[in-house]
Amino acid sequence: MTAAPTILLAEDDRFLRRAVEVALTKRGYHVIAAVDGQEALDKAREHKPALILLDLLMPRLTGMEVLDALRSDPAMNDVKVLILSNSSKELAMHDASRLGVSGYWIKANLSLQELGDRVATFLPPGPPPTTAP
Amino acid sequence: MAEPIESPLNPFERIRSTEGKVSLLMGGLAALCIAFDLFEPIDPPWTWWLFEFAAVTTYIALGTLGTMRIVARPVRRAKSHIEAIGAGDYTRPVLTRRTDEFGDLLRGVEQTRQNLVAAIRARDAAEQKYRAIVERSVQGFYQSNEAGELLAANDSLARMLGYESLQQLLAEPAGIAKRLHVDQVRRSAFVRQMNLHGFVTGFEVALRRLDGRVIWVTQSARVVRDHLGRTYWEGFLDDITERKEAEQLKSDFVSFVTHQLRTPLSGIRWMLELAQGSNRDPETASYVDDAHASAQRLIGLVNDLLDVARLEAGRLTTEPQPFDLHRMAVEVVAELTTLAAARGQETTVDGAGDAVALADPQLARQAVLNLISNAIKYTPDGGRVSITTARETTHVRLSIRDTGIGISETAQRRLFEKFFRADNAQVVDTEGTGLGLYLVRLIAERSGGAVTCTSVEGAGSTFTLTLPVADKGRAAP
Repeated sequence: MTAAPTILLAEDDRFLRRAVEVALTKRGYHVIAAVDGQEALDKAREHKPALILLDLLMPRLTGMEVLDALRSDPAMNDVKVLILSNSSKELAMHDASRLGVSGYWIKANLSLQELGDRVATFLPPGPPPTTAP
Repeated sequence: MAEPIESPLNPFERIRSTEGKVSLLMGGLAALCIAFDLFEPIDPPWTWWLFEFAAVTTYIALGTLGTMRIVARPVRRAKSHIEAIGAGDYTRPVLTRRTDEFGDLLRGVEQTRQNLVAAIRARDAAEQKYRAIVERSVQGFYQSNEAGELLAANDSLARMLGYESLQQLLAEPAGIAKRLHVDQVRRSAFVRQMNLHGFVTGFEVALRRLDGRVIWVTQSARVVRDHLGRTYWEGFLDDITERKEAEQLKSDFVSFVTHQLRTPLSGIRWMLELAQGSNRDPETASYVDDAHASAQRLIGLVNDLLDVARLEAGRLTTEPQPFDLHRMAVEVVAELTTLAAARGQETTVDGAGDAVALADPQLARQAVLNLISNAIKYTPDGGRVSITTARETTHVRLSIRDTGIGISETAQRRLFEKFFRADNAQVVDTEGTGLGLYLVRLIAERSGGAVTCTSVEGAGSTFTLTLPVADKGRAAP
């Protein structure tokens, strides 16, 4: 049996964090959650996730600052990052694409089903867990 | 006013033509000479010849002088008047009682003088009127030369820029424009446009007042060439600081809505989605489904409002790129298949595959989605929605024809207004917001296209969306 691929989820809103965590775990991912930008950066360095779902507006470090730090860290600069934000400001989109993100998704425009489908195109899931989390 | 010049009226002047006068004068003198010759003696003495010589000389002299008086005098008068007019004296009227051609000439000169006086008065009045308009205008006005010196301005401009008086503003040395502009890059863009096109309209720019406060103005200006061929700039400025501040507030509000409202809404929606996937009794399941649908509707409304606000404020940067409008229509129809199938409708997409548009694909997709989903929504069960795409010379066209409830003529006029909903549409769909078609119009206009509608109430509607073609160089098939 192959291990579930690891996804780091950086999201400060606890309801969104819980919803995504549950949905992705059900699909067969190992989800590590971070509640702010600093924790996201620390956990990224510690766990070396295969994919990071990154919110932009977070306490301590913003998503852009986390992204900046990741891109200048030789051990982490090639990690796949997907921005998951509710800000559709063009400036943020532009900055994010400059820093090489794999996608920029608006949370309000996605169902959990769609989010899971899209994540799967970047990182195929492992076998689904036998028990619900 | 100068003394009028009046010609004396004598019987001689009553003869209408100049030829008549000259002929009468010369003929009379000739008759005198002939009469004189009738009395020539048989062998005239030398004194007779002397007398004869004197008579002929007098005849020639009188004839010449008379002709000069009849012909040259009025010409001289006309010349003097014309010279006076040429020198700028229009006040001397040309009066004559002569009835011949020279009388006509002098009256012609007088008529010309009167026309000129009327034209000059009209010009002066117009100039005074427009000068007053400019001076009293709430818009700031200026004229400046190429060296950057202020040639003229009005009180409004002086007040707008924080000067106590117009004189204080006009006393500013050359280069004032450079000092006024907060953003020199923006100023260079203005200068470039003026030099390139000769005019600029609605150019928004930030200026620093004398007291240091920054104001926003919109400027319209043009390059003017005077009668000596020198060019200067003439422009009008409107203070739009309040509008700009309001726009900033609106933008802040939009950002607030974007993040603060959409985040908890997403939370509700996703939690309900998880609840839908878990085991529940049928009654709870129906409540959860309704709550989920309601949350989705609310998110849709917030998204629409957000797009409208951003499109209206011109903040949505569109990224035009070529895309296949036909394929987009096919994809959108596929997305809406469940909706159309549930109502037993037939949806077709026809057209050539070369309808490649140049617009922001994300925005265009929203416009196409709004139009097609409307057609499905307002067409009764078992109806038909026919979509065609075509390439035209400058545009690509998407037409959506339905056999739906149609739109009354009155409603058609207001169809693309914000929040407008036709009466019969409200009966069919109570949940509409009146933002969908307004958004389509904003998107079409922002992309350089248009959206139109033709409809017969009760029979169906055709909506046509046009967008700029990607490859204008190629002729339409």
